[in-house]
Amino acid sequence: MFKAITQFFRGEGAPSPEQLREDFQARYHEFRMLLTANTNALETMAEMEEALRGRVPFGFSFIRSRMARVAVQVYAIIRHLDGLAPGRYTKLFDAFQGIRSNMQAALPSVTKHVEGRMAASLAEIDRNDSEECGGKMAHLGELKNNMNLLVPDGFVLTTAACAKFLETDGLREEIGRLIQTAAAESPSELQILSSAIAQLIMETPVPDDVVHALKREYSALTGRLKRRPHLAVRSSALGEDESGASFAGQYTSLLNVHPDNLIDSYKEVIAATYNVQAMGYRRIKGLEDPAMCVGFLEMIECAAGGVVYTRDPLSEHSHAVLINATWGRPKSVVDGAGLVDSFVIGRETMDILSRDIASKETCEMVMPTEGMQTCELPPDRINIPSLTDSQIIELANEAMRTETQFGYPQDIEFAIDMTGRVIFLQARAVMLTPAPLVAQLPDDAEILIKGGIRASGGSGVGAVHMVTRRADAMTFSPGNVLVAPQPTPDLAALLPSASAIVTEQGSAAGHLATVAREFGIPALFGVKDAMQYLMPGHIATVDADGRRVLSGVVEDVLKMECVDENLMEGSPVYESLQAVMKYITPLHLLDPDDIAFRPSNCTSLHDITRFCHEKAVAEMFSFGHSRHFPRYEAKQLHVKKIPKQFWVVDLQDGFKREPDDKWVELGEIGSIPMLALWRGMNAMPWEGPPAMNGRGFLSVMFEASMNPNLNMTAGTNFAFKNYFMISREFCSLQSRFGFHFCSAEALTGEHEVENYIGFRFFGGAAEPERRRMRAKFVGDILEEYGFRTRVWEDSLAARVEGRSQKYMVRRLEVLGHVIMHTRQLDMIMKDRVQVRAHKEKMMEDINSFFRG
Amino acid sequence: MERTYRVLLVDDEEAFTSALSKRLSRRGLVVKTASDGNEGLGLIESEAFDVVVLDVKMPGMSGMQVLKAIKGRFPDIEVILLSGHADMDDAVDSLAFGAFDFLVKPTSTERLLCRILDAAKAVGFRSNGSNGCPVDVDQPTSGSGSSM
Repeated sequence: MFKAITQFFRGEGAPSPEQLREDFQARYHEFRMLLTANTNALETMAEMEEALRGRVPFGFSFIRSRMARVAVQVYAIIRHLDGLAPGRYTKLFDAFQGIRSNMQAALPSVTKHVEGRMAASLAEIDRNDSEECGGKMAHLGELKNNMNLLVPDGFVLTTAACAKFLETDGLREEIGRLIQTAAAESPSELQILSSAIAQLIMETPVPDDVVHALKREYSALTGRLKRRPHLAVRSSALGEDESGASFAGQYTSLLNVHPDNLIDSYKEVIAATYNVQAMGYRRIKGLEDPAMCVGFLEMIECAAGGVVYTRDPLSEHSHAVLINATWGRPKSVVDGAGLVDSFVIGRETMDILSRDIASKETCEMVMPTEGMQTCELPPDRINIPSLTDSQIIELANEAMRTETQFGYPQDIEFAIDMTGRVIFLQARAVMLTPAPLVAQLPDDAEILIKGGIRASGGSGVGAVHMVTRRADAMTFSPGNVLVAPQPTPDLAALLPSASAIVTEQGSAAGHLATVAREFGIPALFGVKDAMQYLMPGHIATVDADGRRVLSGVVEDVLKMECVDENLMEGSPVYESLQAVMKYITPLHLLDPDDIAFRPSNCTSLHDITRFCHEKAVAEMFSFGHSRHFPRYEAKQLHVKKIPKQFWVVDLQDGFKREPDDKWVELGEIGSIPMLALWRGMNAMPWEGPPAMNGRGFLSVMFEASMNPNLNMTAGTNFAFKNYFMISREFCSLQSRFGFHFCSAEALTGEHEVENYIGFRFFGGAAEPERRRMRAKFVGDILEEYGFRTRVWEDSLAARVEGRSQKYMVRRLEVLGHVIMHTRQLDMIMKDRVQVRAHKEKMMEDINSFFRG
Repeated sequence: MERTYRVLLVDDEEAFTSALSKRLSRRGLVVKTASDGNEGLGLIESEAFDVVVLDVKMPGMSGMQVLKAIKGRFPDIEVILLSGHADMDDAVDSLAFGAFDFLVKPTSTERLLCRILDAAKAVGFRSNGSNGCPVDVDQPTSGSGSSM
């Protein structure tokens, strides 16, 4: 690499300007790749940090996949730095190896499972097999093998089997082609696509290996059970375990399938991957089509069945276990239809706190031939509890054990067999919603509706849109308040983009309620005659927590915020993530001027990224320094002959005239984006650090004194260094003020579609909470001017793209001002009054010179 | 003026390679495919490639073996490994042996595409006899994050 330079230093003669420029460009490419890898690594770290908040469940496979990803990204960063400065930072590789061993040691070891098998019996799998068997079946295996709970006997056809099937006759490719060529936006178009795919799948033969595996496993099953059972054929998709996605009812269970029809059932379940709701759901969540594993389980003859929630889905703070049950199969409970018995048990005491016995009129039963049927219950069964007290206590106890095992509140489907034993059919993380927060209404609030059942909490506002027929779904706009007679599953496709949903019938159980909770869409069900009291097109505020719908926009309701609760804390999987994260995210290297800023002091991956970023900037700007290549030497910026703390490297045509010496006058700069940033940075003089309340300053001092990496000797910390790399339409800025860093890049040319501004801002000396608040502060301001922002930890990323040069130039001015005036703001961040005042002042200042 | 990048896909899953191959061709890349390591190495010997995408698990030679073979003889070719398992040690080892990246399947095609383009550009900058085209300051590749 960098042939020309190497040649030169080997005395093979001076490189030509061409060669030199190519080398320089290659170097610059290496530098940008390092920045990209840096951003990617930080994003992965942010994802892991987010998981640590414990609000969304995750499993070991999440931990492993992110560990692998971030390790690769950081290794790539080290490699790029090595590319820029070969051999100079080899100690980084040692530091990296040390960190990597620590990470690996922090995780419990897992025996590698058998590769490539088409089928596995339930006795052979547990939660570690979710990549091979899908979440549902892996969890069932866990209940059976690691918790000794009773589950139906059965087996699963794995991802390998699914892959094999999809290879047949180019099936996967053909499905891809159908999806690509379909114009599938509306529900009806999606339906056509879905049917086409389903038909295709049903017509494709299942490969021999898969059929043999199926027959072999079924044969083994009949051997164990001493009979030929009918089976439940259930979907078990990859990703059910990982992403905190409920997939509730998105896929299919075929019940009471005759052994002669297993192959067709297999195909039917795979075809369900492409049903309308599933495709719509994945599209909204941005998920890829998953591999579909299929579970085959003996049908249990059910005397009764139901669902256990180890926490009330509607109030995660609750201290109760909820059980809903009825006679016959649990299906009617799961579907959310019909009347069911409801039991509440104290989580700690295991006392039965209440029993609400419904008038159960029907139940689901198995037919002798195939399929299910709804039967009427004999009168003597209607009002009797479907569960005995001892069954209730046993269920609650085992459910709590399951919660501990998986580290997150569970939604468990169960059956009581004909001998009265408790059998577990499915266990998954429950979609929770925080406890209701009821706002005080302003005096002029107009209540349109009161009552109903809070199926999902929060509040939303939008134009009312009634959906009674398919056609209404097509005219639904994102942000509308969805109003319908019943919470039917087909509304699931619209739900995620609705601001709220109101239905005349329905309860808090059932598929749509689960989806509403998953997407955090406020939902009020069972509101009698709602459709008569709401007017299409009118703006309404739905207050699910307060169980009411109000006319117009009611701010007092909308601004209520809920408190976060960590639901996974203390569980084995959560503690594993914490243990691993110790070697990933903590930052020990804060001050690049400190002698402690060295590879041997990198004890986390984050340390390595900070180190490499800093050194990469230094390496880029020292290129050409040796006076051999003055063309690429960084020039110090002068403004009317006064030297500034800015250095500039010209990539191509950033200067109007080649400077003679080691500086460049501002007037000679021809880079549009750089000049815009400069104008913004200088529009108003910086008045120095904000007036700090005592605690703010103390916070910085405290942090510095507790953190050996922060050296508060005067002079070093307020080092102010700015490096620009420019061409006429491009600019990259790496800027540092004490412990505060920012990195910006912009292209502002004639082609709108290519223009962009990317900005990253991180660091600070105050405690983490203040740094986080400061990042959010900056993000909020930038959002006012059209930037898309993301804040994680003390870091802010902002971006705007695809606009005209003029638009971009204005935004760069704003950015310049913001960069200059938010330094050290972390010191005042705890004081809400000052923060608000500061925001107002900053907006005023910006607007005074910003002319849109 | 950009030159055309040449990519080799080596994977025993034909459906995967043919789908990816089409998408890459649409982006102006020249794509060839091979179904195992030996076939892939054979193609590399006879034709020039910029980027090779390899599955870690294949019949015959494993992805790692092919990676080492390629890096031994053609160090300038960039190699991207794809694996069905997230194993940190495998991932880092492959980078230590010179892989450009290690991605866990399933990965979005967009992401894979971006990595392939990044790898190809890296090769482009290093190659002999590049025709001195102006600095590549076009938009950073999206999907795998901007260079911010």
